[in-house]
Amino acid sequence: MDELDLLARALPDAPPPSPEVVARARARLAAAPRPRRRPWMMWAPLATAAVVALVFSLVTSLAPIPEAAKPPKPNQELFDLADRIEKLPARSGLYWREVVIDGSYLPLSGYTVLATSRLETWQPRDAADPVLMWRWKPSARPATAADERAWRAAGAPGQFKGFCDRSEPCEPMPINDEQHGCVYWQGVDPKGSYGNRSVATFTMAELAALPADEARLKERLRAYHKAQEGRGFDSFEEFLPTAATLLSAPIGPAQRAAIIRILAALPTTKVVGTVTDPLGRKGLSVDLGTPGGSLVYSQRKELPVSYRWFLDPASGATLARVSYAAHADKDLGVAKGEVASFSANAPEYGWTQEQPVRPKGCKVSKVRN
Amino acid sequence: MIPHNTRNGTERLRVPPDLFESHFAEIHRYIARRLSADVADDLAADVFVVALNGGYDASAGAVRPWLYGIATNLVARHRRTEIRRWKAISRTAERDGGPVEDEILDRVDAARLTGPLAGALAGLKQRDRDVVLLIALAGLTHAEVAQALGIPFGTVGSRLSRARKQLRRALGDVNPFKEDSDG
Repeated sequence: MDELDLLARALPDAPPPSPEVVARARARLAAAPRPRRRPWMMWAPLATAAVVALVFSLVTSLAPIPEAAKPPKPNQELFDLADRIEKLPARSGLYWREVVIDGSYLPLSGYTVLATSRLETWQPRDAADPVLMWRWKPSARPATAADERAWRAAGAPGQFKGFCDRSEPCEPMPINDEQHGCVYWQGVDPKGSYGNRSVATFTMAELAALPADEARLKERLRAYHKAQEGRGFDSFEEFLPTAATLLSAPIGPAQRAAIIRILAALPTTKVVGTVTDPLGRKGLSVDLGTPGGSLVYSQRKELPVSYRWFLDPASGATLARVSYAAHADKDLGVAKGEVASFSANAPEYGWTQEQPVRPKGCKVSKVRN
Repeated sequence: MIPHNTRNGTERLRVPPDLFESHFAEIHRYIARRLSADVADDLAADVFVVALNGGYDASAGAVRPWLYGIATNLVARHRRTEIRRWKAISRTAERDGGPVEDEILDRVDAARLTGPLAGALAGLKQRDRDVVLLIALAGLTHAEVAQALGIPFGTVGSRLSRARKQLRRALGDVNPFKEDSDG
């Protein structure tokens, strides 16, 4: 265990520089005076026209490029993000910790609640160490200040029971801010398989060894697609957006940059813009143009949704995947385009040198997940 | 970035053409985390102006530690601002840290340790703080820190060891580490 790892995670982070700040810095460099004298002894004999030319060429390359000379590519923001992150230091640790907050907006009579649940997974780098997962039962709170007023006006009920079919067991869900009740599973997975198998079944070592070169990575994805053919993906092009799931996997910044470039080049991908994610962080919203899904409220009630990915502008990792109502639904009181649910990665997400602590007060689960 | 041999065998100095594009964001982030985003807006640009004026010394090693060394020297000019910042974070984090229901979360949530850690950082010597933050925030190795600060490798180790002891002491009873961990 390491205090330095803790420092990196505990100290407040900083937002990336705005495009204005970058442009201003670039302009300052372009306007900076030429060096008059090399400060180091070894530079003295080399203070020649060649060196000045080198510095000049660098300064020139830093000057703003005329728009006419280089029109921005579609999804330029994603290419810029990839450029920004690919040389960030790769991190590692004893455990890869995933903390996911799942949220759903549930309309009740007169107000809407946001129901959230938390799933935490500690995946060891070394398969000999145990995997630990725990999940908290969902709880809900009024979604907005207006919803809270309506909820109070309705007598501030402490729980609700909605969207249940007779055929299903349906426990009432509490309306409060506290997490309550959890189950955990602990065990050794000798294969060391990573939990998310959307692209392929990976061991942690296989994930770490994914190519960071865009072309080689794409070929590797083609092999995974071949293995998955007949499992719902018709073409490689339809399969490729699935690579977005790897953005929240234990891979390095260069591999993440390669994935982002592959996604950015897809004809279906569209950058929506900078948004605030469900946990209040700034993110780049990306629509991969993939077929939507459905939120199932009960056996009789489903809401078709489309998905957007919110990416961390500092790391390229996924902050959240958010689903939007594909059309209005009167029963649910949902307008078209409204956020219906999300799955957000909490700030603790990532490598750690800590060992998982067996949760107290949680019931043991016999099955993983 | 990579020194190369010319035809006559003389090692020439080569500033990477993508120096700014590759490193501005991370240098900005490092400064912003130590001082503030506002200060970083100007100071990060200063790093690259200094870098260009000074030229890249191939004998100094890789370019990234070199840039962090410049950034750290510039941050040192704002020592009081930095100490004020860590003290302020320490106070704010303590005030915001209300009771936590779940003991487990209490033990694993790094955010709860922000206050004690920031307070400890404020109390470190500047040279020790530089070593700690170059490793923790910039992700440099010990060898790269030695290069960045122009100090011997062994000195990095001794400064780090001293700083870690102080950090551990500051964490006190909220310290989630094992007593026998290294350092």
